[in-house]
Amino acid sequence: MRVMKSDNGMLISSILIIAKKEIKDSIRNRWFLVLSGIFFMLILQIPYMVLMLLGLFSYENIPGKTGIFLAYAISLGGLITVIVGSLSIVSEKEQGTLSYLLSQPIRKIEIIIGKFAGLLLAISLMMSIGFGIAMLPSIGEAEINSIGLENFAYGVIAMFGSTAVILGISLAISVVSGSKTMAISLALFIWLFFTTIYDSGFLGTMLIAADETQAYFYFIFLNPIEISEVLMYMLLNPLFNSNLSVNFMINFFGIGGSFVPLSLAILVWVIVPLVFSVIEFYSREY
Amino acid sequence: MIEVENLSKRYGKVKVIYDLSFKIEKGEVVVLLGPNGAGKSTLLKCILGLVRYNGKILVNGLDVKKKSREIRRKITYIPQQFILYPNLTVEDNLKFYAEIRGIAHNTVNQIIEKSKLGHFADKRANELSEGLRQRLMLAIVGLTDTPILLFDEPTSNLDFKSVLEFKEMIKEESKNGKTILLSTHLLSDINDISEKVIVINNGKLVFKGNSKDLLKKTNVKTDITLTIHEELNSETKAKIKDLLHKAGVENVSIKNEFLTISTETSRMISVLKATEEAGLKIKDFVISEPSLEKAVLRITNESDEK
Repeated sequence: MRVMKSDNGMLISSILIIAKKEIKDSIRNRWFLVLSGIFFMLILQIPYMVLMLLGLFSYENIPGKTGIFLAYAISLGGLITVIVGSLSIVSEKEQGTLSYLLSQPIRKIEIIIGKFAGLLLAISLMMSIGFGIAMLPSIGEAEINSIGLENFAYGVIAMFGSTAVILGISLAISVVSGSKTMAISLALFIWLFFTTIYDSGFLGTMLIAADETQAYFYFIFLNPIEISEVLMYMLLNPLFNSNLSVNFMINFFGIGGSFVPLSLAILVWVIVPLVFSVIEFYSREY
Repeated sequence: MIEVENLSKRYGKVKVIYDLSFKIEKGEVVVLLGPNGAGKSTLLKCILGLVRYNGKILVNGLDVKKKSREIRRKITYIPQQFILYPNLTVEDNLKFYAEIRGIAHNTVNQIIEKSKLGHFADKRANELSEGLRQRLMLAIVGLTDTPILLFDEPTSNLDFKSVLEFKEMIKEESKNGKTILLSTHLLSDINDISEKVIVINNGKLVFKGNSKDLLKKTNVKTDITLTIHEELNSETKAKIKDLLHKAGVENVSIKNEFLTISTETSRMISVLKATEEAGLKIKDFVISEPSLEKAVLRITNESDEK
């Protein structure tokens, strides 16, 4: 199969070649597989498993916990994504393949987009399968309708969005990092910041700025993990949950009106780091 | 085919290439020599358009600054490090690079057979032995059929068998009319490959021409090391030195029972006769022909002094 070449415009085929390579590389990467295993074990939450095995927690209750499992999935999936994404460019630089790849008739933008697409597919596939396997114990014990296949689909959409965002950020980290150690350190800090440190800040602001709704607004939209989780809760069950951000969004935009700003925010969070990655990748010499 | 005019390159505040100009004609095989840090790799990266630079580089008449992608299609570049993806199989590594270049899959199969990698096609690159990895690397290089080949220290990671295979490959490509620029600091690499050399040091061009001209220019002599039966006293040493100087020897060094003489190759016989006249009882002798290593060392040292 000879690929059509053109000097003008971006080559979709080049992006697809890079993406295909990334998928193959990820699937065969032992670390990726280990992380995937840990991922679905953790989202199922070992305490729940123990309780189920002891007969203290019914399989039928699992569908009701879908939201909690998905929230964990988004946070933990983010951890896998930052690690895999932050190593994508810098490890090629360290192993010497980047120089050779750049000496091929391929553009830097095609490499970034190809890597982004390939890793997004590989991670999303792994997380969907992982989440699906984690939910398997409930099948057979509960009514198929109560398992909520649509909930699963919503969760996957939200995970896909958050993965895209985190991947964009981690690619930017990979481009600017001088070594794998630096990339991993930065990536873990970013993940910790968005999943833990940020929440503390959010709570603090909530206490200080009691009625300053604008502050909540910024806090939700400046954290891509928070946006993804809010989006997921709203898709699942917007009326019956205690998530402060969800309640804020419903009060501010209404249920239907919240999806547009949340989706747009996700899109902006994907595009901005990706554009930054491309600009930085072009400005650097390898 | 490759024209470099007033090329300068700096990384931040450090200037690594100074006003470099040279031309490589179509079908020429040129060896780029120089110590580590001389700027050889940077020069190759400039030719590929991988780094920004001042000056002008034309490849097949095309300006690298404007048409780098088009130019990269005409060039095969082999960097110093391994170019393999460790998690991909032998076949996938080859297919990946083939697809980027738009090379048909049946060419990949042919290369696998030709490189005797058929039994390992499904093995991951990180499961291969060092020798097989080197073979795979050469197979990847062999995938492309470009008119220009740029090699950056190609033999630094190769074992002796792969070095021989690599040299054969260069000779074959040269016969096919390819233009080859081979950067190295290992002068054993260039034996039988080419007599055309470019020497750079600290980013400056210090020599371009034939390796024989380089030997002539640097005035590198033949070294004759004689092992004599007994240590000489100072009086005899002075007498021998005097005789040898009269025979046209410039440098004589006597340490213990070793006597080292540097002379022109043409004067070797008369020098040996002079040692016989001096009554030296010679146990053994070694003649070291003027070497390119010494010539490069001398010319780079001279440029350092300047």
